[in-house]
Amino acid sequence: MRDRSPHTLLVVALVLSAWLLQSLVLARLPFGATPDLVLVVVLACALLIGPTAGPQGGAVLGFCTGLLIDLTPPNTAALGVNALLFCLAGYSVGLAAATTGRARDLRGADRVLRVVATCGAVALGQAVLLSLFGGRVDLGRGLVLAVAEMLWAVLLAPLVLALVSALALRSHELAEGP
Amino acid sequence: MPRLRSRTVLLLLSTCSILLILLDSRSQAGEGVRSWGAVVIAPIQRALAAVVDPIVLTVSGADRYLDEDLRDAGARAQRDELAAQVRDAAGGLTGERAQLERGVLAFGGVGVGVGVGGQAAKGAKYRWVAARTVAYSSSGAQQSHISIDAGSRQGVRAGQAVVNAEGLVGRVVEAYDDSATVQLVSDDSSVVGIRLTRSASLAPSAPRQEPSDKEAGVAEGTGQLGRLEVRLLDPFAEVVPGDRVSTLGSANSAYPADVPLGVVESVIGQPGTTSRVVLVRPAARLSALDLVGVLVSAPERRAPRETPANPTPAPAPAPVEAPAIRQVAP
Repeated sequence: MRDRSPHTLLVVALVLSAWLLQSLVLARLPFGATPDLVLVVVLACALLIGPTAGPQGGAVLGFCTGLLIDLTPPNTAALGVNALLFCLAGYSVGLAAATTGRARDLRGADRVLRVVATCGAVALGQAVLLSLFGGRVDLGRGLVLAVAEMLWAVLLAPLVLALVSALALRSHELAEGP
Repeated sequence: MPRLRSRTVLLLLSTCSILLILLDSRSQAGEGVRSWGAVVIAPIQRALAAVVDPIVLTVSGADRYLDEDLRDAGARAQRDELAAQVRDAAGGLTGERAQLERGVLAFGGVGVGVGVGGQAAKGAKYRWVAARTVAYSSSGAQQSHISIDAGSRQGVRAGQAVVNAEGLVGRVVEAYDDSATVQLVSDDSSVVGIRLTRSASLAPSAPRQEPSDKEAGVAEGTGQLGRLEVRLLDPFAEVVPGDRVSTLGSANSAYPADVPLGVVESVIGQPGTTSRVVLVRPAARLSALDLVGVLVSAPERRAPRETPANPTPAPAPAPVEAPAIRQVAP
């Protein structure tokens, strides 16, 4: 990682606030499946830093975020489940961003689609890993949850991607000066 | 070349994760590590919850829910009367402390008093610790856990039942120093022994068959905060929407008897078939939890009331000893 991503601070702030928002507000909404805002934000950030930091940027970001979720109390799943899944998800999204080249604007159907598909894959992975190592969620319900998570991602991804690219543009302007 | 490096990073991180998963599932090491996480994160969650909670509770209308739940006027009147008494009792107290006391009193009066024929004296067997809900689990696949801001220093241990003013909330699964994780009754691995009782308002119209109006069964969580599934031991037992579900409280159960658990919403399937499922809405509004009480123990001796030695602005929930129910209940 010779060339540092210019957005490190922004990314950290975004992920942390998404995580707080999710555990304090979103998780208590009476839906069957909690919208996984943290994951969507992580993937959007992986897209953002992909061109400069490469796919390993997304992988590191995903790993750290997943570990944060695993380590903090209300979660009781086996340590490392979210770290693994978020790491793989960040890598795959970052890989796509790295190959498509430098682009600060994250809006676009292909990116939204990629984020949505990855969210579904992560929910699926959570279902499988938790039924194996947590002894908690049964697989059938996990599959239903994965579909629900994907529907949430369809709703969230365009908004989050637009927000992240707007913020990135803004911070870039601020860094460069008037 | 950068391709190679990024693959190395990926390989390294995923190997780390897999090792963690295996290590944790073999030795439960996660709980120890997580207790460090709790030390760091609990104060942050507590501070933020104090800001966010009033907004969430207002938006989701916790009071409205309770009114709707207590359809029969008798129970509602009883609750209002108790609530008024509780307000009077807490009148002399101020601020955060008053809120905690009021919370404890409220669930002592309403939770046990308005329960399904629950004798008020039963509640008095328990000593409880008041706690505030500070966070819900944020992972999509397992949303039925909460963090509360009381832990082993306040006497909270894994396995203890957690209630609020409306009914049963869940049980403690992990206790840390100053916080604990509670598995809600809606969690899909939660199982509670229950008793089903005809609601008072429906009783006159329904044909009475003594003494089979108290059916035993189990309530399982579905993963949804607003729904439980009940399976009754007697597959022919008559069930109608509005019937009340409360805890059975067998000898080896973590849950005390006669704590309200929910109200029957609908029944799926025919009587007599094993696939018949009774859908129950939890009495406690699990999506808007605020003050809860952890049933810490049956009091052999009266524990001394903890004096606030160092009055910090962040409210460390002192173990509030349960006032005997008889003082509250009419």
